[in-house]
Amino acid sequence: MFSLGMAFQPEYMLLAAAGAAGGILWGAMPGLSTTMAMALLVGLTYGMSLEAAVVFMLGVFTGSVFGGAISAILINIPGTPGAVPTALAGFPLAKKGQAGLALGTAITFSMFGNWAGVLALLFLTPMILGVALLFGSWEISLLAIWGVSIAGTLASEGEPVLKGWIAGWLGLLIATIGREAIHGYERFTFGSIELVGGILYLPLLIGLFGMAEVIMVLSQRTPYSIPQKIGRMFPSLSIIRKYSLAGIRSSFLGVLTGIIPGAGANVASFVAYGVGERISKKDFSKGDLEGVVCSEVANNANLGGSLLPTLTLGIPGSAPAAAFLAALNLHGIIVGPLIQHHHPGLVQFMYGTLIVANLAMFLIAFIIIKPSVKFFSLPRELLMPLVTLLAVIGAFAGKLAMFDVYLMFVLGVFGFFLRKARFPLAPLVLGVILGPMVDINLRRAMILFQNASIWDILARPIGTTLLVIIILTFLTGLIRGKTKLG
Amino acid sequence: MAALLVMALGLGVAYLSVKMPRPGGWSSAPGLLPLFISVTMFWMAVALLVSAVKRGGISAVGKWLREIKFIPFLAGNKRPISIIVGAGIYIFILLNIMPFEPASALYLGGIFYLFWRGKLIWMTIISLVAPFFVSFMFKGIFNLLLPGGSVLDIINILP
Repeated sequence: MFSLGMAFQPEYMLLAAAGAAGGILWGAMPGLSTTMAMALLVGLTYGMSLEAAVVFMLGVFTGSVFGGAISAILINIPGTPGAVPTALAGFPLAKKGQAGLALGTAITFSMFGNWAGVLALLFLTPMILGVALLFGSWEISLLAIWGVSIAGTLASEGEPVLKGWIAGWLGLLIATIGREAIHGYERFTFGSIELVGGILYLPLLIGLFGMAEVIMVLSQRTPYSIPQKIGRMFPSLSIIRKYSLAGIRSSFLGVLTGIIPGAGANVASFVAYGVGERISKKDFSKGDLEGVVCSEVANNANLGGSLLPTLTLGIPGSAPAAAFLAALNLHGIIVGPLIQHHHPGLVQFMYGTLIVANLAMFLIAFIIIKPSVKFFSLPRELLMPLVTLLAVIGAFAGKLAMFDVYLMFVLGVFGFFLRKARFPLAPLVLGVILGPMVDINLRRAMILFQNASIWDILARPIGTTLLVIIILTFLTGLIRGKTKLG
Repeated sequence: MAALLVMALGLGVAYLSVKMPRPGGWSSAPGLLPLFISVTMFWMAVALLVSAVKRGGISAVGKWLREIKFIPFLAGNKRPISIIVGAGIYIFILLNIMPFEPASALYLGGIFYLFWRGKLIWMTIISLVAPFFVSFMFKGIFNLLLPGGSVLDIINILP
């Protein structure tokens, strides 16, 4: 039996703090993203109890989202994609000798963003759970299709939106590999016994976000040096007061982008940074604390927002949330509208864990940054080969089968070429995760609608609304693409 | 190029989906979703190809195909090819013929030598120590089995 109070037991608080500390260090190292940390951890939580796995993963999630800001500000290499705007606004400050202040402001407002995410979870989860119970097979399949489509739209940043959609569709296609649930027919296995069970999340996540990243990062040469003195870290009360409005605005944007499937911390921070620049009429890239605030509040608030659809609908709000979902599945937890019924108190336990992890992140970040500045700039040529070892162990851990390690490698190379061709990977992962949901629910709905007329189908208000939203998503995406081309 | 590959994939999957059995008609057919995905994906790829042509992407591919020579291509992509081949050897060969720690030490040593401009002594120390540290951590703390088996099992260090 889970409860909110369980998260405050000393052993879980320590574990959350350890996860947050590990997450900060991980996120701070260039090239080691939050998604990679979460993907690698999924397999490693296999040997943990469910409670410990939840606490540790949420701790790492919280810590690594902030960690990206450290290398972004100090060496202009964002540790995570969500910290790119932080680098734009923060690194020029470091060059002016204000690295400490930029980091301190980032830590303080990251905690602020995390609180916004936790509050959104607390207040919106019961509402969404109530609505989710009204969804039938038709509505669930449409919601999942919309999730993949909108993820494709949002993740295609600067590229033709078609690439995002194709990536999502490829994910849906990968999800159809293996024995299907209604007739037990084996699809696209080509006689391979190992593929009958389908492609597990584990080798997929680790391959796409671990192995592909190793190949990608080692393919580039980027030398860097770090400032030895970072100066004062604690932001004054007047600074906090001055940027509190920007913080509140960015926390809304962060939560909102988190709720939309596939829109991870990177989308959140870019949106908040852009809106912040427009409202303040300033150029943050010349070095501005407000830019750091907008970016960090949004990417941390995104965490809580992304967990909202993950826990209530089973639709991950971001790639790291997808990895968290995979870890829960690995421990037999099926998230969705009935989560409170099947696992009473689990959601509350997660709220508690996020609160502890957030406080731990705040304290640990202030304590460890100064003594470990040099550690954050370990050469990527040293780190990335070591990540391969973790990727191999993580992929093997799920089924103890070398086939999964081979699959992880093949998917990693596939992911590398997709990235080289500028296809986003997040919609692909979302497609694989939502594929079974689309498949079974779409066919169930088709069986139910066998003797129904088109008007009977359109008379379902939620389904029709979702259908309209899907059509609008595709239309606006295409129109936007056309405008860009024009 | 990518659009053409996706179009071919879409056609292939559509063909396989139509050939799947349909015991209860199309509504519950195993090929329903793959067919829907492959057909829509094919048309998305067509649209991508059209937009690439409009942006002059095809002439770029043509130029690339005319100019491509195998050796310069390999030389230009030495870094990604080296890491793919290195990791491939580690995963498909080394882990099948020896325990995790020596296989990983060989892989790390090779990759460090190719990519890292650190001192040879550090490369050697890290590539020898790191696999044992990782193995001790995951076997000892997380109680996980390692691919290829572990030297720690052979020398019976862990309980």
